[in-house]
Amino acid sequence: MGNLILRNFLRFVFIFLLQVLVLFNLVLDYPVLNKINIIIYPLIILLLPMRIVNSLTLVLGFILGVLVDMFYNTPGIHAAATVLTAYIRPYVLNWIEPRGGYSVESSPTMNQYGSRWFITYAAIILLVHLFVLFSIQAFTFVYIADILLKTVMSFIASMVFILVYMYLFNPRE
Amino acid sequence: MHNLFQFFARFGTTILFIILEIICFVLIVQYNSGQKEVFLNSSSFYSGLLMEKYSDATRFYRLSGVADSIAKDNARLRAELRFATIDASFRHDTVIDTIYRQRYSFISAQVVGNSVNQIDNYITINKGSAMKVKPGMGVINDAGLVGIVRQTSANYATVASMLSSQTRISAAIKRNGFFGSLVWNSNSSEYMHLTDIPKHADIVKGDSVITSGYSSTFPKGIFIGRVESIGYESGSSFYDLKVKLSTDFNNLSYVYVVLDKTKPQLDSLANAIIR
Repeated sequence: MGNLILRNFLRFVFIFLLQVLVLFNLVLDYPVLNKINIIIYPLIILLLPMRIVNSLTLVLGFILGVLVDMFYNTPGIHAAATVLTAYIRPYVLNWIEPRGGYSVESSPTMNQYGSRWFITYAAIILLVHLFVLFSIQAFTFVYIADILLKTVMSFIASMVFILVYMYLFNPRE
Repeated sequence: MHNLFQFFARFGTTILFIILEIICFVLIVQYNSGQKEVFLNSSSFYSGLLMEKYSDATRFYRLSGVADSIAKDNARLRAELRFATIDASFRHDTVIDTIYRQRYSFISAQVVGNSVNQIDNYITINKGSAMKVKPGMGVINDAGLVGIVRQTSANYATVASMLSSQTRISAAIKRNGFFGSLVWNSNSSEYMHLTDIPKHADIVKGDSVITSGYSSTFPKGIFIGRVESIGYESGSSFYDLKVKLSTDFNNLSYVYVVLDKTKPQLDSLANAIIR
């Protein structure tokens, strides 16, 4: 139990620092490609253990979002998107429940439920997160084409980073 | 009472969700309405410190670029000094020059955080109110314009980059003095658009664009970039000029904050008129 909390805490710190210090400054300076925002911090919410209380997920999502906002100079924007991500997590988990169901003691990882299941899970949540993030950032749907372009480009790039992380560390819990 | 507990057990998460989202949107809207004191930003002590530590750690890899830019800057300064070096023997001791009084001074700062692909980009620098950096001051580097100071803490400042949807900087064509507003349309970190220049102005590709000096933020005549292509705003009598910026925003290391000694006077005049 203590081990589980410690692991999640360390993951929180590690992915957060990776996001705000390294990925924040990573920009491809070409037309169109410069729309890419590499966003991997939702992975922290994705990998929280199965039996976590939903309201705790929300609070963690809020804290994470506010911390990211501090570095991105965007008060509230990342927080709003991350809270939503945390809120839809249990619904997405329900929706894509594998045939054998989940074991309460597990965490939703590649190691536990296979890579196909995990990619579906991560893809749904990341797509929602990015779309909401860029929509709130623009604060209007006038730029819907731009928002969609940004979402798709950033989704592909971020997904690559998330999968590299998962294959590299292959967390069990 | 029992019903109340049941209600919270069923909808507690959703209620918490709504409350947290409301807090988020209050933050977003407050910030957009130009709230002066927002504590959640990169000039705050902890995030500034963390960014600076990371920047220090990776500075080694950027050193060659930094050395080049400093060398270029030194060369420029040396060129300006040539009278001083040749005519040193003619220097008088107490000349109080009443015609050319110092108007601008510069504070050098190191960039510790930077972005170019957001809608509004910000740069964090490691000089703050302790070094007399105040919101509203211009920031330049050896190549051109960088941005305007937005917020300061004691040791750090957040600079609104030129690459921001809110940027409007008064800029002029060097050759003939026509001036307009420089804006950014969030497409590329290399280009900005110069608008509001009337169509009867004679503009050719490659014209130098400089600061107009009509505000106290930037000194007059700082090089911004060159006209890359000439377009027209549809249905209006103004040009839409694409300007290639001389500042490389992807590679900012050292910048100068512009301190204008006449700013209080200019501001009080402007305020008197508004009132």
